[in-house]
Amino acid sequence: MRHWIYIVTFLMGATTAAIASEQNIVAPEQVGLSSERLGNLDRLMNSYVEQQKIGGAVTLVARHGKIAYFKAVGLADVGKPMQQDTIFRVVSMTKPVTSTAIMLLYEEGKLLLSDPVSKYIPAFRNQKVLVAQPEGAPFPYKLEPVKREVQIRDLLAHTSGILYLFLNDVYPNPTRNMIIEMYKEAGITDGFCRPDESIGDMVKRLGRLPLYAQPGEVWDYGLNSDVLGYLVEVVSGMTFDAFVQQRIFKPLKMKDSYFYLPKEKLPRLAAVWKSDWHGNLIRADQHPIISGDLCLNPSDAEALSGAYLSGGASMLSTPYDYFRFAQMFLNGGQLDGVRLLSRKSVELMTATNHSGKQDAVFLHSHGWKFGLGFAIQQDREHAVDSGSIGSYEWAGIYSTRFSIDPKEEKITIFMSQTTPFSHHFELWDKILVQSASAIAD
Amino acid sequence: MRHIIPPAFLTFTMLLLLQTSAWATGPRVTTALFTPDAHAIHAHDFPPYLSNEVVDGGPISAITTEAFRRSNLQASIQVEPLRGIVRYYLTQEHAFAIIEHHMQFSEAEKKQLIFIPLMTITEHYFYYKPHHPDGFNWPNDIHELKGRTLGYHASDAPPLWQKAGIRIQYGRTIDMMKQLKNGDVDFIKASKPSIQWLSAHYMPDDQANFVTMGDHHDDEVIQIVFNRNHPQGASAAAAFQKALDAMHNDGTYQRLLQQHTRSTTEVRHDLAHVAP
Repeated sequence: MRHWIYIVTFLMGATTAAIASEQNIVAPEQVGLSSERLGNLDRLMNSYVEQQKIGGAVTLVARHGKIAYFKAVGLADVGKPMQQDTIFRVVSMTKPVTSTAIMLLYEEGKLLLSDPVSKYIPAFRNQKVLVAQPEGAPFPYKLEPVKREVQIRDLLAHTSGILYLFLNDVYPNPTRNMIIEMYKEAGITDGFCRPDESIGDMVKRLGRLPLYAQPGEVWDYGLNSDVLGYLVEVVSGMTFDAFVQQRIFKPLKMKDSYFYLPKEKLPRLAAVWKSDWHGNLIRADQHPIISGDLCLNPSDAEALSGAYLSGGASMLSTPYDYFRFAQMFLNGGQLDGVRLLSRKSVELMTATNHSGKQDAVFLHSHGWKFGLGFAIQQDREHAVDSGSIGSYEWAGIYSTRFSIDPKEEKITIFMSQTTPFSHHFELWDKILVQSASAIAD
Repeated sequence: MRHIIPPAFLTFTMLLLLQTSAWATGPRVTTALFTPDAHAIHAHDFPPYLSNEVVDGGPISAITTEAFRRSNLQASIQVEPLRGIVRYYLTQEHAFAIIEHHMQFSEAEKKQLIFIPLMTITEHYFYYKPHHPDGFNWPNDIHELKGRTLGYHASDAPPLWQKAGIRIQYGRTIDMMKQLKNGDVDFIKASKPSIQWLSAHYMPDDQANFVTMGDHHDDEVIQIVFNRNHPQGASAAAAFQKALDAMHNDGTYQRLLQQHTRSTTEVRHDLAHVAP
């Protein structure tokens, strides 16, 4: 019996070593990070799990292309410990992947960022902008022609005037309210509760609805990446998930990234937890979680197939896979000898002048601009807790976040599955502060 | 020999060059490229009768386009996703014409409008078979439906329903079909071609599950509405009516209808239904 225990222990150790070797995990000091200071992350994560603010999480910190910190804490599901290879709903962290798909087509000359979207999706022709009229006016709104068509760049930078429904609760105003009511009447959803239709059907309806603002004039987080995902289908002739699988996941060896999980990987999918941030933590059940205009359906991720492929929300992945994707960006577009994007495209995506004077104030505050797929820290004049100027990052609504710091060549990835996301800004900021403060060279 | 280039020629050449260079980037994003010269006829998306998703836009589009062609009028149908947007164009931007059904107008509004019936469709009541394996027929007394929820695609529900205690849930027909399947509504009202087209496209596994509640039905008229507030509204209406009558008389109307629909009982040109 004792021999068996030794053998199992040995095999587990060997497997862990093999995974570690494949994942290029090194001692923090080898890449200029302090083990002692990274220990603060252990304490932070453990305390959040102990206080039952979150069910569990995986945190990864890498520097100079090597992983120096990679730990799982708490539970992935009831009775199931969190693992490094647990699979998460990364939701809006799908967006940088979708942007990358567009940039691949851009580099191949299949499209230009300045192309009007209507060139590929006719429903975007002759769009109108809704202007709310004062109370008592004969009609509640006026529809004004766009000064120029929505361009692909507008979709990448969220300056198209297309909205998300759930932000109606966060930034209410008459114009937004009217547009969101129109979205609902036309059957447009944010895609966090996957509708039973193809993404193309949704996008074609969306294109015929009024915009919130003139294209290029306002930064507003919206369904833009969903439109981009369909645009990839139109331009490439492939389904969006097949394109991403073949052109991004496969070359980057992101072996656990999908839009619909294969059956054998379902047991690795993390559960979603509902937290009030005061110790009441409940595992979400099979029913959608609805709060105002926000609809989340964690069980969507258990579907093995479907037609709805959201470029803004549908991706499932692991911290390690997402690290590989992020490292490709940090390396200027290539990873392990495979070049996905040119250095110039990465520079273009991380430039801070795509949205003019508009700041990306949804996830962050002022001082952040939106590039072509993520927010970029532009200055230190505003309330920012960590990171270098030029750091770029984004997050997912079930509490996932990545941050890439090109100056320090550092990547930080955090993945949990907890709702509501509004509680998590504080935790995310603390993780990024501790990741930054572990730099010791 | 000295060639002197006149300043006016130089200016002209420079302007020409500058214009060429501007055209290299400008037209790609200008809206002018996509602005139709024709009068826009705004219509609510209503598959399979009128929709960008249907071949040739569906029977209403085919019939209307042919009537305009015969009237020597430049007009194009603009399919809108919402009925409210169609109303906006009619009442606020004095659109040349709209195509509508189930739209309510005040008496004052009606005076400014010219209604020409295009087509009569029959709307039935449907239930979801798996929820009622033994059937669910329209009762002799409507009050037997008290407490039930009807899914309906238009906001002009007859007061009779509410008086009978029927709750009404409004929404797109496809959403109502999904709600019917989920048990959120008990029955829905729509035309057979709508149900057949939508289930074939969006709910193929459920095509046989949407079943009519017996023969109970209502007729609905789809009409083109010309706007007297538009300078050409009244004259265009007269020309259109004449062309439509001619199409009816020479068999073009029936031919176009049959090209797009299989049933002549569910969809027909019934001149007895002259609205309003």
